[in-house]
Amino acid sequence: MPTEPTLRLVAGDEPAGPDALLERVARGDLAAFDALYGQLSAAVYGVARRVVRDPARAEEVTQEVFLDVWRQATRFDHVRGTARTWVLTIAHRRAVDAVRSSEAQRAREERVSSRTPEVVEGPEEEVVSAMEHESVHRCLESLTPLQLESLRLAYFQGYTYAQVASLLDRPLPTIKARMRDGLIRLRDCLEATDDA
Amino acid sequence: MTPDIHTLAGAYVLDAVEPDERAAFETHLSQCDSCPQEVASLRRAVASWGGSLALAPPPELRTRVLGQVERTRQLPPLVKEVSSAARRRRRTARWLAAAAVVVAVAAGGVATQQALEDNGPAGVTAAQVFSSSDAETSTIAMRGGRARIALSRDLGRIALDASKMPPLPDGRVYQLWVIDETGPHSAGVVDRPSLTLKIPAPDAQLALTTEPAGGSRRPTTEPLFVVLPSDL
Repeated sequence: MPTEPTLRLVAGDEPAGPDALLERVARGDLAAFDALYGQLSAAVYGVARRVVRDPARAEEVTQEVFLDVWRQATRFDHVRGTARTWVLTIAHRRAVDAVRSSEAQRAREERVSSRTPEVVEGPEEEVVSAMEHESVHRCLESLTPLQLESLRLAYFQGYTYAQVASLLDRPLPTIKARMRDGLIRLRDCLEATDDA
Repeated sequence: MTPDIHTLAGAYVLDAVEPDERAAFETHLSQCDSCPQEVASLRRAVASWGGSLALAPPPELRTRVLGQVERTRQLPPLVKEVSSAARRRRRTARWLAAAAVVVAVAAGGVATQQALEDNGPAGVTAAQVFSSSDAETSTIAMRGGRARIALSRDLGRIALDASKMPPLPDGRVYQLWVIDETGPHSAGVVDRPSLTLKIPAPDAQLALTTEPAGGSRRPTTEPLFVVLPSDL
């Protein structure tokens, strides 16, 4: 059936997930894009807020991410992963780029404390899938302290592994290895949870 | 390449690498059988982590994003097996065939104009072009190898990764050509694993041929591939 220029999602048996929506976005479907935004904007904004901190900047990052998603949807390769993973990969990359370019601008500013500050959960409504939140936290707790610290400094602060190594006063290869084996442990734990 | 590049997988998916390391790792990724799968699985884990941080953005952001998207063109899809480019390729082949006749007379140890540079005017390396956030990259399958091309409008350059192109017999070299409406112009001999060149005029094509050592003034063989940079 030819696509009609409707602004409503076509009702189906089940609501379209990000992968199906992204396929339609690739064909220029704005309604699908809107629906995709509805499904993923909280995750994108959440990552941006955690990394860049400043709400206004996090909104800009979110906007950049969705613009990337729109422009590059035509080249998304589903063989390499799900739409959600792809969008969140872009989100973190963009957030880190934002942090690093503003860091470069004010390179003289005082160093951030070596501890990962507790994240302000903010007054905003949290729209976390409780299940996912729960299993991610449980799995993060299964990491060694050094794995967890390395991952958090990289993921939340946008530090390079070299910066993390210097901050934690450990050799480069150690941190590089802890990032990889930490993520492997996280992945295996999450996959075991999914299967259960 | 460092032997332990593989262990960079974790730092890579956390975006905890410098741009040149990212480029090096991505090169490694394209040559390693198990890596893409590992990277994909780690990305999934990182995405779950990211997803657990979800926080509703202010409602007005949606209006802004949709408004901006409505005014923005999408990138053209990549054509895997160049069927729509076949027409252009035929046209180019005619150019090159015509040129080859001329060459038989003019060739012979001509010093070719060297437009290729490891470093552009702004010190741009191929790795930087490949890792630029606006880079459009494409891999071209060649018999016994592949070439990778990246175009960055921000950096104003095209990069060629020739490190996986099939080796040539002694006395033969790869030569790049920029083809515009006046015909093919040498962009130089490919004598390094990677190089960059300025983005040519919008309708110009980029072609690769094999030539006698030292290069030719005009192409003497059929192009191995032809790309339209604006399609990248």
